[in-house]
Amino acid sequence: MKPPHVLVVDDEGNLRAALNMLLSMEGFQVTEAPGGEHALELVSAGLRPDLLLLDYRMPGLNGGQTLERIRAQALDAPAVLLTAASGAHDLARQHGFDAVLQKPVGPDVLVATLRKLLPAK
Amino acid sequence: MSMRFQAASGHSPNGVRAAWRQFVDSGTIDAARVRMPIAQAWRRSRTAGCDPYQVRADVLSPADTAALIRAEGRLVEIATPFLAALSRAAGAERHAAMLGDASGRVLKIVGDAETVADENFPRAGSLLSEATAGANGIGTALAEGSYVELVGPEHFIEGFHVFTCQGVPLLGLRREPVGVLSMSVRKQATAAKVRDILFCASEAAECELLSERLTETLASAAPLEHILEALRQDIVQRIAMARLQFELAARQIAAGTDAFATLSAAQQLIQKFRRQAAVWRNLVGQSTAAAEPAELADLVDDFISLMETEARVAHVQLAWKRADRSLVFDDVQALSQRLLTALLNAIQVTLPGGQITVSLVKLEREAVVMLGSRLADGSEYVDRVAAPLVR
Repeated sequence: MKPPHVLVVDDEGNLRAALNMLLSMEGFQVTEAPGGEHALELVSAGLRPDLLLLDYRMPGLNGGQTLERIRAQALDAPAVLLTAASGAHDLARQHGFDAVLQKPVGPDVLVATLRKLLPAK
Repeated sequence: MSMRFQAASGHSPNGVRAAWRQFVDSGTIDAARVRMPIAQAWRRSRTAGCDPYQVRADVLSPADTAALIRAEGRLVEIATPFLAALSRAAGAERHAAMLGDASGRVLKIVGDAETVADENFPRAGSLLSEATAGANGIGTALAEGSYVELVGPEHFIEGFHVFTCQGVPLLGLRREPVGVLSMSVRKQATAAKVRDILFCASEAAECELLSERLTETLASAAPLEHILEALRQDIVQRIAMARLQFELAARQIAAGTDAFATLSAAQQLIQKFRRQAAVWRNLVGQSTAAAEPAELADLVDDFISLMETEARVAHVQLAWKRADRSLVFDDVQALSQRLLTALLNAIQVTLPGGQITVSLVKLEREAVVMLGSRLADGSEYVDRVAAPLVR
């Protein structure tokens, strides 16, 4: 069975790398994008992840704008907002995220949230 | 990695056991056989009337324990992932990772099934202050106000001699104890394996508690609320990264691989968080508004680091020419706010893709932070923030 594929979009390289290592240990396949524009390029080029994990505050497109444009490209993968913003739940609702996690998040909670959102195969 | 503690060293278990026996029988310390902090902890235990052969059972009722855990809910919530990671790092070894409150009352235990199920082992609701449980990883860490390790017979109560226990107090904003993290294992080798990660866990948990205070503080900082909230998010990002590095380290230790690099990275993030949080607190006016000596180059250093993401979001590069030491005497809170205003103005007027050059000039009576960038019409933007030098 193919491992579930997560697209991680965050401008902090160290955080992306740590998320990549952790999620890989948990059996996910991870693709990293350092910003919204890069994520859109990947999706335009045919990347079809099972899940999206997005930061909000990033240079260029923020996480909400990125998700809206990804959705416009007919990618309906469940999306998780991972942010330190105090109004995270409002942001998530406003942009159509399926779940929101407040930084700093415990790895167990992160992994459980992603697994819960995985589309049934 | 900078460690704030030293592990137990040197003394043979038999020598310590003999010293313990002599102390409980006669009250005299054999200083050649027992470490000074342990000797002091034994004296405190004895003075408090602790019985070396029996734990004084002070365990809350299930209802009172539940009420205490509810009252300390945020501490428990923050510490839980760290307890789980400590337990993971210990792997299949007999162990218990514990969280205590500021009085040494156990709030939560995570460990192997056998240890946790042992009815003689402390449980949630047990009081492990030195007065009740003698020198031990929780009570002694709180009494000393710093990391402790007690190996076997260094515990005051004989029933704990099979354990090696380590404890680190968790400190609040004013460095007051708010709780304690502790790790008890049967093998000293396992204790050595988890020592660094316990230290890192305590630092990270303290930072998470502090980051909550930043959120609470923000509500009172109306004029610059938007930018301060953005900077707060950037600071919390450091802790988010540290938490993940910490988890990775726990897994590396459990797998028997070297976690030093990962823990060092987490440690650096934690230090960065602490410095940035200190700058941030100055910005929201939580510090005392009195003049004090401050190293301006360090302050600008931390400021530039704090503003990195904000500048990146504005597509502006900050170029900071690290300067020689410039000890100034100023109201650090007001100085920080002047620096913030100057940097925000500079970011606002600088063209996307442009660069703000920050430098420090030392004059006869003052040190001046110079900010320069190029404007859309091609002219040069210059701003300055001055502070009087210490005479």
